[in-house]
Amino acid sequence: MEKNDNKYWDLISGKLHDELDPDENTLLEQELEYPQNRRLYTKGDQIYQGLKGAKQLHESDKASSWSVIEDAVVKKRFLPSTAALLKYAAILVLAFVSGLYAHSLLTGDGNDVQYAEMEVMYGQTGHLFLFDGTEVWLNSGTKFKYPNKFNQNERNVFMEGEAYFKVAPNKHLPFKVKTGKLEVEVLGTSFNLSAYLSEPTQSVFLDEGKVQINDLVGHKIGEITPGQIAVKSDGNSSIQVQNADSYFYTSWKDGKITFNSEKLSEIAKKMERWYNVEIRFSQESLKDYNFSGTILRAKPIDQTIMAMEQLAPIRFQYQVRPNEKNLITIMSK
Amino acid sequence: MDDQNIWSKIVEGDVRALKVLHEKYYYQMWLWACKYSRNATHTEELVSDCFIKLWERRQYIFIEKSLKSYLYLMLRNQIVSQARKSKHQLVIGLETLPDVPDETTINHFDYYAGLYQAIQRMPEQRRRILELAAFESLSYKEVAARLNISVNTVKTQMGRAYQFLKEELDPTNFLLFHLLIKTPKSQFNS
Repeated sequence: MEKNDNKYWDLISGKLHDELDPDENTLLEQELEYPQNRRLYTKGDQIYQGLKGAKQLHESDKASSWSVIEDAVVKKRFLPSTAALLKYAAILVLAFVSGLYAHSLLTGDGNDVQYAEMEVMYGQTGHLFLFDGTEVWLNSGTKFKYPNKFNQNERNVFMEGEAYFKVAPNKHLPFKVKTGKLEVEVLGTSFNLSAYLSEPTQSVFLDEGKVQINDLVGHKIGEITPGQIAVKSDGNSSIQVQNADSYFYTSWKDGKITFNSEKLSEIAKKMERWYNVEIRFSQESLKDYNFSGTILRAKPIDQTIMAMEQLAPIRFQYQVRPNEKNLITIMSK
Repeated sequence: MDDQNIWSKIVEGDVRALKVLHEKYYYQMWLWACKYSRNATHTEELVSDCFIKLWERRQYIFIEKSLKSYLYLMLRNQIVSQARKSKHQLVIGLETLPDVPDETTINHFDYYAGLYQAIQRMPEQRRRILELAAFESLSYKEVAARLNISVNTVKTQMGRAYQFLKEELDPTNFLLFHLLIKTPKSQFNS
């Protein structure tokens, strides 16, 4: 049987490749009288047709494709993953290198200041050390600019967005964070500053030490102590101070977003930045749902969505868009 | 390993899972990309980039239903953005590019990819003979001359090659194969 099968396959492949002599042709025709042989022939023909389709693959090179991919993903595994953050990695190196010269720079004549500027994309966060030892965490969608050397009287940096600063103490050199809307001045302390251009309020939360809040021209408008948050609204020159829980303002730097009965509309804004998506509401009323809880940023967005769907009568619809941010629509259940 | 397992391992950062996925879908994706691409090198870039992007964004990608349709969607976007970048120098036939290939096309690609992978598992000489006869359209005589063997050997080896492929793509497996990869149209529209 096995042997016969072999013989048939010689004939079938020969026929398909047009290689049979007249005798073999006759022999095949006789064999094809039997239905089981005709079935084999049909299968052979399927393969013959399939080989025509597979022919192009002969130009492909799976191994070379994989080696390109492997290079890209293995190399980048320990580095931030987007081109923008590669730039940031370069600045980090610059920051460390600058550190070596910090002493001479700090005592320099103050001229010829250059700025390093970095932007953290939506869906990413950043972390860096300035050469004076100050540690900075940058939240998604934040721009940060700092000089290659500080001048003799103060340490000035610039930002838009949200950042947590652990400022290296130096009582002779105040550290000033300037935003488009206010200025925060400290000597040595840890605080969170949220000042996105697109949002109508800015806030400073103080973890430890002491901070002073100034207006744009450097005049003091307030001061807070640890555990307090200062909130300033656009168009209002004074600040409101209240006590707050550190966790809600600083946990983002550890990869968590924590909400304390926050409105869905506010949470959506944060999620837009964290996950780099656009979020729309199908009804205005949905914006007012209050949520408390913690989102782990390392988890994929679908897990966050599923958890939220359990907590409120809402559902999310996710839409992948080719040339724009992916769209999430929040609807009622 | 099914796609869901592969995906969760990728999300955890397991490069080996990415390799498994690449093994599984490289040829199918290549076949689709090659319809819209001017040369093989460029086709390969299009496909490789999808896997790199998938890896880079693994934390933020939400696979709603099928990883496979997501890959095809990424590939489509890759083709479209390349067309824009290269002002159509590298990309052809964009006007006929669908969102994702239809089910029949996908089944064909799967079949071709399966055949091609089976050929790679053949003994060396048999594979060479089949490739010359099927891919380069040489006659048995030409194949024999090229490989310095007898026409009779070509004939026997061709028969065995066909038998091998028939057994590798055994009808029962084949049916199962098709059932497994059947992707309802609705997945692509959601």
